[in-house]
Amino acid sequence: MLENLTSAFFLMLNLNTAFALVAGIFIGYFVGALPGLSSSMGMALLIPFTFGMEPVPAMVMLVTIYMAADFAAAIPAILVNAPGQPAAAVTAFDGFPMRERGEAGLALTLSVVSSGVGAVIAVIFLIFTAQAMANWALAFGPAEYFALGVVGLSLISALSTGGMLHALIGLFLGLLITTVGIDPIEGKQRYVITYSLIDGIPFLPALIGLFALSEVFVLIEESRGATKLHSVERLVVPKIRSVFKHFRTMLQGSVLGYFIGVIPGAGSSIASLVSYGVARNLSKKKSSFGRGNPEGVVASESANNASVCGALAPLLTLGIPGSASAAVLIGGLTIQGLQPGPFLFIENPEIPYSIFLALLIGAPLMAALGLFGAQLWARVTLIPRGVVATCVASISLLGSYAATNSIFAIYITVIFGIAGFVMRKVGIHPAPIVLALVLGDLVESNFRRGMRTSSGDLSYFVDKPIAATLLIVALVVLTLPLIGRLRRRNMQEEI
Amino acid sequence: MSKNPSEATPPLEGVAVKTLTVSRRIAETVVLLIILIVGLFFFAGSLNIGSRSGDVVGASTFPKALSLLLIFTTALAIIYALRAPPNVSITLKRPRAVVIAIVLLIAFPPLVGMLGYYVLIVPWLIIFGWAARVRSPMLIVINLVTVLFVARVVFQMILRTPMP
Repeated sequence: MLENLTSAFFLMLNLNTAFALVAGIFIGYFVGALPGLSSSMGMALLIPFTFGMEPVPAMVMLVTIYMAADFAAAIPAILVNAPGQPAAAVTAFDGFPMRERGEAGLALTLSVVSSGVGAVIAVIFLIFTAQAMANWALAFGPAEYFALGVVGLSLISALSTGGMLHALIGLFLGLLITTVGIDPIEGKQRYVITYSLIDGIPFLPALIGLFALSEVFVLIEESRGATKLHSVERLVVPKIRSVFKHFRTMLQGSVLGYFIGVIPGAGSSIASLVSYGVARNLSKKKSSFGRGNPEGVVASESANNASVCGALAPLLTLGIPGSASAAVLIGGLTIQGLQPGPFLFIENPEIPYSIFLALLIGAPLMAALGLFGAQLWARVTLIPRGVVATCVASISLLGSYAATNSIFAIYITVIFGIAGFVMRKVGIHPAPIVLALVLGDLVESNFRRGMRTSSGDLSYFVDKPIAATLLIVALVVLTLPLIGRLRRRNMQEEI
Repeated sequence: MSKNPSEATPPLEGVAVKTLTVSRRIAETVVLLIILIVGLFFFAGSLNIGSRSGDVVGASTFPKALSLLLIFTTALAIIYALRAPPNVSITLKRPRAVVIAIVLLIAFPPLVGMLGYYVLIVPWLIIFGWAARVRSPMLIVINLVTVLFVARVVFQMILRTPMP
């Protein structure tokens, strides 16, 4: 581990990697500060820019965008009560009342410092747990990989905002799309109606369509005329003591956030909420939560950023994306010819260790950028949605073209973009489709390999203890939100 | 389907926003029917995929099973959608602008092949920007310069993308 960390450190000294780190932080801040742009959308849009890069700087840039977007999301949440990312909504509970009280400077400083502390603590946890998880996964065969894929697919219940039936429709549609092209075992052509489909539906153009282009229509719906630039009040930087008196809450939020982040599908919103709830329950001033209690901002932000690092553990070691942004990150890895999973730690250890170091080095930089650039990021929130929509649309088209240097890719982006928007309108979220696009091939090829090994005996998948455990986990992950919904419905009926 | 230009959502900075309100039941059924047709297309296509003899799970098994699952879940969702209360609706804000954006996006791939990227992108961006309410000359110029810079410098010069 130390050897890998040392070689990753020397890679970080490379000018290209350092540039990618700084660029990723700035872009991530921009994406996070703008309400309406999500980290998954920003990353999907930026993947084409990484084509000409070496794998290490490319991954460093994408990961820092992911992290910085979470850092910056608190800025509009605190200043204008418009969270840049869903998880920052919890920060707004107390951050915005603090701003109304004239304590915007303290709220922003607390949010940035808590985010930094959360990220650093979580990266340390990540360094020590990831290698162990990867070693454990090395013994996996087709049965375990199939079960792992099923666990990943079961996350649709957690990732989808619509109903379960709609999530399943998205999942099956996404899985069907992955069957287009040459089949992974026999090499037979499936649905190849045009030669351009011989390699299947290109993943990146589909991803850009679903996450970036479909959002353009939402931005157009929300776009308004010339936005008046409101003056942003001068922020007063608080004393260090008033920030670090909340260190215990920062620690508690960071640990909670990391372990919630590791659970695939839990995500940063749940991490923020749980941490906020724990801080509130442990506080002597429970009633002040939601009315501008600084502890609320600290609890939410430390957990939120720690969970981003937590989500990287299953992604890098098992190839399971725990969130929509993580699924996009897998897209970034595969574009570079890398396969996330235990073999990444053996064949390309420089990739995961560079990511760890980028987060470790990037966290203080992100905190500094948040502290000294708060005025600037506050102004970013005022950029008219129409301008963002126009830029995102044209870069989406350009980026998808660059993926394969063919106009066919633009057709794919446009089709997926329009379909994504229309489906969103009726409650079919694109996240299950993307999850299926990422995991479809893994599930099918390992299921078929397993069936061939066992001569068609299905018990092969439940006889192995790890595979059986993972399938039970998948069942629990799939049904738990359903039980929760049923309970809520029963409670509402009783009321 | 009812178009209510008079029925406006809360004004944004003093500007009344036109909306198109559609019954959720109708909208959802139409979208689900399209997905059902996609499922049927995939199922029909899976019947033509041959498999190696002796394999329990062949090349056609997954597409066949998945298309059947898609058809079943979509049919179920259509039944639920038709049972939904008729007064629930879906609102599309600024429908004309959204439709213009969709038309422009659909037209982009064939036009870029015919005219080339740089000839197309200038008028395309101006019209798209107009739909997205980017109407001040300064914002239009900033938009154009940004996109042309990204295309020429980043994609063409740095990433060596051969532009159409």
